[in-house]
Amino acid sequence: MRAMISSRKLDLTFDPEALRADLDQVAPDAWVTHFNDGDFEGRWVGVALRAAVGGGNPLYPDPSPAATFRDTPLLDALPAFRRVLDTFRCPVRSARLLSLGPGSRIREHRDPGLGLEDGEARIHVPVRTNPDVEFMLDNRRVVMREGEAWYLNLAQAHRVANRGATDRVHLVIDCTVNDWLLARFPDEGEDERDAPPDVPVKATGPGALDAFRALVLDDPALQQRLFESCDPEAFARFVARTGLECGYRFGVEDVSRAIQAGRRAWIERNFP
Amino acid sequence: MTAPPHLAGWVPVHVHRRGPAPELEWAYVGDRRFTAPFFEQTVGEAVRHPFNNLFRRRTPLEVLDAWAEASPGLRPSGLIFHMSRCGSTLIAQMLASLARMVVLSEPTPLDAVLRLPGIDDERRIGWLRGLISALGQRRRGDESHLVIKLDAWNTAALPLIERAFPGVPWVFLVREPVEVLVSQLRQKAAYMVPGLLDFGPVSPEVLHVFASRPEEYCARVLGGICEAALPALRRGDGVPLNYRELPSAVWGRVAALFGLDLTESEQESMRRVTGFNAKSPTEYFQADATAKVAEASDLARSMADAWIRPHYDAIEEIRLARGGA
Repeated sequence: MRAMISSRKLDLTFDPEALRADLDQVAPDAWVTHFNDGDFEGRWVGVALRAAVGGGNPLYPDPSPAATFRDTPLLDALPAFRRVLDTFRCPVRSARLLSLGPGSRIREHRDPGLGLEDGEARIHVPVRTNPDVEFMLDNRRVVMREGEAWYLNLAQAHRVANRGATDRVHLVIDCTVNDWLLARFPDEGEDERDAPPDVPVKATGPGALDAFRALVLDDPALQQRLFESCDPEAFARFVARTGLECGYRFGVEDVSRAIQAGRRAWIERNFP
Repeated sequence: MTAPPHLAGWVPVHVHRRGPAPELEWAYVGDRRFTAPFFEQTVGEAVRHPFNNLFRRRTPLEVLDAWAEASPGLRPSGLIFHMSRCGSTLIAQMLASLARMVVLSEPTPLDAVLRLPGIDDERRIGWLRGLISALGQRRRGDESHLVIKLDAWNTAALPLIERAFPGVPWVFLVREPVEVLVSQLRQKAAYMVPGLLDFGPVSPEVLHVFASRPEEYCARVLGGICEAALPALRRGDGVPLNYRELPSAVWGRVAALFGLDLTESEQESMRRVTGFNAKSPTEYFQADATAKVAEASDLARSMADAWIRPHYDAIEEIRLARGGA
């Protein structure tokens, strides 16, 4: 039983130039604002290439098992995108082009039900991107290049910031998992990201978290970095990992307990 | 003076009064703007972020001085005083719709500092200035103006606030007394319930009036708020404004008074806000004046006339003499 995969580049590649040529065919007024209006700042728009049958917002990737999907008329005019979808020998549910404007960002959130473990996989194929796009999944950066195809376990906390000057456009394909799709996951060695950092440990145990907290309170850059993660579970893990990178070893449970204590102290602030 | 802790991105959210000296609690908000109808809601959001549960920061109030010196915030461009339920939140929301505005809508730490017992005026003024500097920081870099909407009862502290921020223009917003009274009777603000907020000891007589004739109690409180604004208005200090003049007065006289120099698209942005109910932005704003007046009982009407109207009329006289419509 393989360990839960957070993200993986699949063994599929597509011609970025052909994808971009198709992207340029999409009329500016075809793009609609994403329905999750609480979650983002700036411009986040999309266009459906394959949508749920039966009305409703065309960008809504209906998760209900009974939903059926149909290619939209727009797809007829976009042969490169059609070729991409035809490459997938698994049931394809929704397919959308999603565009995050320059200077825009999507706040940290989770999309439940979108993991291999749930029998679903959301595949991202970058069509247009830039080096200043920062995509964080469980507080680790995942760099995805044009033409690549990536599985992302979006049931985990994730966020995106487009700090570049151009739109970040992805072809987002929701698939139902089958053997063909699973075979597209190349084997990877021991995940390097989880290796402990090569930093001398300054403190361990209960004092370590306190010392790390004092460090953070004096470091605006660290504050900014940690604040970007608001999902409680992902945040606690991020704090423990960042603490370790700074030389302070403490457990995720220590962090969670401290968060609970802080929350309680706030609630009780007016008690005599 | 020792260098202040690294407070960029932090704002004061609460004044702790237990203990020998009052302390300030801060929360990190980064570059997030204050867009909620009330500052209290912004605070609620900030303290729900796990970062602020884990990295708590509590300081003496004196830190405000050092922080204001190291990193001065925007000087206030305008203050909004009001008698309650008269469109002040709408004004605040309209202004807050512009990215370059920092709008503090009834900031709880400000009210706390105003009502801290046993503090002399000079110290209080120092803390008020430090607090506003801390709340009015340019956290994004593109902010140009700061406007503060006070709580209705803060009108009683007008003289002190004028001394703390000399020369800062302010408006006092009023509305037909029966409409305001009916709104309060329908849904009493916390300060309308004696003893609910900490305003000092409550006498049995006051409690009796509140219990037996809430119309009289509420009317007296509202009258008191209006009365508190009159001396300054008579001196020609602030500008009276009537709910009836909204919303156009906001991009008109108020913007001019506060030195905002609005662009066309900023005015359009403010106009869009008026389509929504300012306190519950998901509901459309509906002019409900007629309904409120019709709902008023005879007692409510007579209490409004007895306790509020004399002061309201005096304010209206000043307003009309100054060219209000």
